[in-house]
Amino acid sequence: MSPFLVQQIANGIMVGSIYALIAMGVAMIYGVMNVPDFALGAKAMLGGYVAFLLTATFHQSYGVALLGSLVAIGILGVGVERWIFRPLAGAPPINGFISSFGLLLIFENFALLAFGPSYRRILSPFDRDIVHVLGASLTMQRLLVVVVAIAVMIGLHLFIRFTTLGTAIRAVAQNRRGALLCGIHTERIAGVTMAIGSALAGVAGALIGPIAMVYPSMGENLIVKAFVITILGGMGSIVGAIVGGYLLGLIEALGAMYISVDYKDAFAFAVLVLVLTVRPQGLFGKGAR
Amino acid sequence: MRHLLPWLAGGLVALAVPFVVTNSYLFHLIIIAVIWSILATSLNLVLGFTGLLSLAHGAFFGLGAYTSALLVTKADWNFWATIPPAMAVAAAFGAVLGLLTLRLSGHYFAISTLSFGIVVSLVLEKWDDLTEGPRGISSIPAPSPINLFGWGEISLESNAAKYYLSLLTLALCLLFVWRLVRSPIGRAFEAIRQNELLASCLGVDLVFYKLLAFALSAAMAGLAGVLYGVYITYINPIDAGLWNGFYAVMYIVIGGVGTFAGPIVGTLFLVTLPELLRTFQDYRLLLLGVLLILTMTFLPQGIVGGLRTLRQRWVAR
Amino acid sequence: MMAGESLVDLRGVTKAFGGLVAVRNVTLLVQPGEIFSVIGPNGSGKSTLFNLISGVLPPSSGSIHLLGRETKGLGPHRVARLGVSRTFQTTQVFAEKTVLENVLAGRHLHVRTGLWSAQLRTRFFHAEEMRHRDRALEILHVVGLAARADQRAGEVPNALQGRVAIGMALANEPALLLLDEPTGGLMENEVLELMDLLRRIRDRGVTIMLIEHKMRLVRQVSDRIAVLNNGGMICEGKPDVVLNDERVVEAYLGTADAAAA
Repeated sequence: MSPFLVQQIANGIMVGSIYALIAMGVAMIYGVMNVPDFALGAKAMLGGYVAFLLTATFHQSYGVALLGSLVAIGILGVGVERWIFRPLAGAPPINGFISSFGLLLIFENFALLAFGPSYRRILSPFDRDIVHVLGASLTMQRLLVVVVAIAVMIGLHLFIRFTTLGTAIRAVAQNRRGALLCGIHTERIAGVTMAIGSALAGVAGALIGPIAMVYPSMGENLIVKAFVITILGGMGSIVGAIVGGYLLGLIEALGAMYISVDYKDAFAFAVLVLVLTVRPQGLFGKGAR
Repeated sequence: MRHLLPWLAGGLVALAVPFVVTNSYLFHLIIIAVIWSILATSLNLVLGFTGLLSLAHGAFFGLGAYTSALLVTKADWNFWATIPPAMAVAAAFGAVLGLLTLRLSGHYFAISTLSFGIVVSLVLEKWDDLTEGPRGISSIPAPSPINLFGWGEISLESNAAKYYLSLLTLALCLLFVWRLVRSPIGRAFEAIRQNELLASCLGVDLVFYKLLAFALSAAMAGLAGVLYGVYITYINPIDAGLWNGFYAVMYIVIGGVGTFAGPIVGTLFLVTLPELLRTFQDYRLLLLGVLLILTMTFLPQGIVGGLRTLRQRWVAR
Repeated sequence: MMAGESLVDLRGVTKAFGGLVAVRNVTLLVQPGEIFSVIGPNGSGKSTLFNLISGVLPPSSGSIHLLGRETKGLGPHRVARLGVSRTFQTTQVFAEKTVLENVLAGRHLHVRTGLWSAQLRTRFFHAEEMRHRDRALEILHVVGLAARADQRAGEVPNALQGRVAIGMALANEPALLLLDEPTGGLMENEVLELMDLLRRIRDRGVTIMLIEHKMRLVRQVSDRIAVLNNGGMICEGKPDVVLNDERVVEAYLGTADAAAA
């Protein structure tokens, strides 16, 4: 295999990890709260800025920055659920969707006002070391992205599978009313889910920060791709989000190489529109939408 | 007839604007607001009256703008002649989108339209040979003068002239939408919005009417784009991008979905207000986001819808 | 449709959802001008049968002919165009519109004006709008809702919302009217009124198919009855015959012994 191909594949896996993290956030939040959170990409962006602040202004280590972004954006998620989405619980879901648009504007422009439009670099110790795989050279940071992402996925899986809280989340996702009848505090579960989903996005932002830099509109591209992934993978399905994320990352990387760099962003969307024409419920979704 | 009074009053105020408004930047914003009101009204046709949240209208706007600008600058067409093809191109894309999203609803529908819009704007951006890519099209000339056959001609070079042209177009579009909605076709749209299954069992051909709604709406959005091009005299892929469409959704929602005045009120209000509150300029988009959330939470029918409910409650006393 | 031909002609109609067979090999004929009731225990496939007839669902196998036309593959709006209207078990109306506007919506297939006449507001357009309005009001009189014409359909008492739905269905000037449990939620006197309405509709030349649970209504108003159980038709014929049939009693009550006990 040519080193260039390896490079592209590695890139694809790395970008796929980021897509997967955010898509997981969308899937989780949609699964439990039935609202597509259009502001999740902006939360990733905020996570990136948190990491930036922690490393650049407070001189913390990158590890602390990662943790900090996870926690900070998780808390933000709780607030968003409590004050933005909970009041909208009875309204048609499209209202929540539009509200999340409003959130996106607020987050993006807050970042713009607070940090300015320039691209910020997050300094990470992993940026310097290089690793050689099958002839291609990759920075450790890229490897770290994949490792952390996978660690997070495994952690989340264990959490959902084996803890009481995780089971409660699954219950609410499957049948909100039923869960309520079983005594599960659905509002609190919504808060927890939102916290987890947002934390996932925040960490994704901090991970991609050293590579792609942090700037106010960086979430736009991410959220749109995440939505494409979750629709193709089935809107509440976390597995679909993960598989879709990596698939999209690879398709974009290989597409850029073999077909056209210019239109690489368009693949995802073209695929989505075509798939939905034939299968209105997405590739793995259940029932018509 | 009494309900026409606010429209007449608004119309008179609108006619007086170029003579009354001295701040040229404010005037500029008003012209932009009028043009965007046309876009908002077109979007309201599918969103408010047929119940479909399209996020692709920025693309139709851009298609209209680019078609007209390209025909005028590269093929030396007369501006007025470019209007039908610009609207036709937009309408064709609208119909295609309608076909692609036929069996979708809710979030899936919205995201599919979003994706479609992205593909269109990306192509407009990357197809360098045709569209000049990121450089955009500049020096778009003003529309050629209207010949009044013996009475001289009306020049359209000045901003005031372009303002009146846009205003006239807005008025015509509003009339079109009003007459469409208050007709059997409008009733079919409304039926689709409220209950597709029921509509279908009443004999409404969902495919035909959805396509029709999309095509008409896209054509109108394209018309707005054409006007935008000749006013700003420069268009680039960002203008054909999605944000125009997103903002249009927000303006409609805040102004009042499914009302005739809503899109206009919302657009005018949100475009010009920040200039009137000069100090808050930088916070304009932030405030828009806040307003959007407040509207969705407390006043989902928007300003005009809320006023209407207030008036009904008042009358019912 | 030729003279002597049945209005509704179902042969061997089956509908399966994956492994679940909702309607099993049903064959029945409905003659013009009759009131034909379909009865059976819950889950016996009655509503599915209506969905098949009205084109909402395609049959898995078998043939459906309505007014002489094969309807396989036609969607609900095409079936409506043939002259078939229906109501739903859970009453479907346009809640935000007035009662009159609801019935007007049902006039859709009889609209002769298009985009141009609507835009130009021609005399023809105005005349047609008036004609539809008048017809809608007439229908409201028939169903007894004329007084509520300008009331929002969502605010009409539940018992009367069913009438709004019937009004909408009649607005299509159908040859065949499918009514799915029109007496749902109605009290005794309202049921009598509905029976009267059904007869009046039939007398105007509309054929009615009815899904019902209230046996007294079914016995008094039906010309013929078909009984479904577990998706299959177990009996069909005149009310007195069918309602006393052993198999029917058993289907509803368990076994003949249980009924006697």
